[in-house]
Amino acid sequence: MSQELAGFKDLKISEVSTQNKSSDEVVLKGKSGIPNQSMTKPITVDSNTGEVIVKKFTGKQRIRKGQSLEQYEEQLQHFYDVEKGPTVTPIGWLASNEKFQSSLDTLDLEVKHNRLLLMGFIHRWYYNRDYSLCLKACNEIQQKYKTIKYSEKKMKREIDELKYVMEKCSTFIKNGSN
Amino acid sequence: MLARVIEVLPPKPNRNDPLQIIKSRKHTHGRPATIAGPMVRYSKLPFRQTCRDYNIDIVYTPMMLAREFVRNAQARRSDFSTNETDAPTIIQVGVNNVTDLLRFIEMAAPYVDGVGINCGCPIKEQLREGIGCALIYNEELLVEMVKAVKEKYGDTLRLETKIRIHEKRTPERTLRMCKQLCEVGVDWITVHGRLRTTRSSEPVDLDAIKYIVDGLKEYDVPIVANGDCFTVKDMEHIAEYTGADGVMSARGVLSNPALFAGFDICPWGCVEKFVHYCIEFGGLPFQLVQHHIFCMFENMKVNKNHMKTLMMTKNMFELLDWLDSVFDMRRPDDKEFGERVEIPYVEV
Repeated sequence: MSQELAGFKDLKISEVSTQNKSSDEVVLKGKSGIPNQSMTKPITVDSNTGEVIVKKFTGKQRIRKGQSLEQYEEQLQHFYDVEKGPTVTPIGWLASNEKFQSSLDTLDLEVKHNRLLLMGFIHRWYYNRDYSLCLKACNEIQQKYKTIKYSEKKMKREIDELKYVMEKCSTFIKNGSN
Repeated sequence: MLARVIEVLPPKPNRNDPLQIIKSRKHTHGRPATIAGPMVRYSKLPFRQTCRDYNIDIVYTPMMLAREFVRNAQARRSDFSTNETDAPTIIQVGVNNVTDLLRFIEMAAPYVDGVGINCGCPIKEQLREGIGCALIYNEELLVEMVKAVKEKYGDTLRLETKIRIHEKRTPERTLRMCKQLCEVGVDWITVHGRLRTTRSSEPVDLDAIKYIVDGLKEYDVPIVANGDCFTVKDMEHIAEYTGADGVMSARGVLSNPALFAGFDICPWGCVEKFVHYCIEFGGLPFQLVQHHIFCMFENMKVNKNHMKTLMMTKNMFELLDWLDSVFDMRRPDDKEFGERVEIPYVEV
């Protein structure tokens, strides 16, 4: 066993069964005739934290750090108390103008995920051909964008998208589509 | 060790028991259980919901890495969204150790109907981590993981393993592994009849699946056959030839989510429903929406110029405008929304 592993607690190495040793060797060493197909049997370093050693592309070993019980419980608490479980998106959850307004007022728009959430409301109004409401909401988002620090390069696609939809909404309204 | 201060939810109560569905469909419906398999990136909520409108009994989520899910709120938010109608759903997990698996299940199980361990993914980045198909060459660890979960949860949690075969035609090593999994309480096994290195262009090895089904007769553990299911005829043939209790389709449903409802070609209504669900649920990156529609259009043999234009749209608004300009795309309040089969080109 290599010196790199010395000192790790609960060391447990997955053994290759002798019965299948030859085929396992082929698989594990990537000698199947197909390049870049080598596999790893992770070596458990600490079964309490899930720390394992795997193999990098270069063949060197790499430690995947474990997660202590305290760290896990912190995540668990965050998942239940802050995130309130997974994101729940029933039909109609983007239909409320009030919800859009409160999201616009409270969300940190420097976070991309939050900006995409707001665009979800706009997508829905546009899809349902509610162009007046859509244009109004786009204007509000545009005003809000002016108040945040953003990299024009990073947000170029989103700003172009906003300009596109505002022009389209204006045209549809002018032509009496809504 | 610290005392637990967090009260965790138990696995989902009153679930739509997927095991019961797989075991009973042949008797109750005269057909195998129909299952939409997990696809990296693609099996998100709007797609799962579309599948459910077309006679699919059970739908999988894409594989989520347990390591990331239990450590990172951002990963949880981007990987998994759901709602009350998202059932029966199996959440698929990529994992290489018992600790991460148990923690993943503790967090995710209350919101799904079962958990599936991915032992079939042949992507090299995952193999190097000992995840996916690497697990079928690490039987000891796989069996240890299943055992640990079933010892903790018993029948309150449904646990599946989705595997590939080790050898063609008579995969003895695979059968030995399956028997070990049955001994430690796996609820059902999905067998993809291909080797780790078999390309999807090569036909699936139904003899190998049949070999495993026959070899596990002594256990009360159903087998789901996976691979090369693109039509209802394929489903019937696969179930009859192998004796499997369920048939899973992945590439088939990606290009035609309505295949289990008897549509050999993706019906237009399916596109309308998918766009509707994308808009209603939100959160699906535009490029994914575009690619889903591309796959369906390819199946529907939409002409190549249209396909090119589809791929040139840059955002959801351009996509909706383009769809409306070329097709008569109905909304939920419109008559015949989601019902038409033929492509309704807009007459010029």
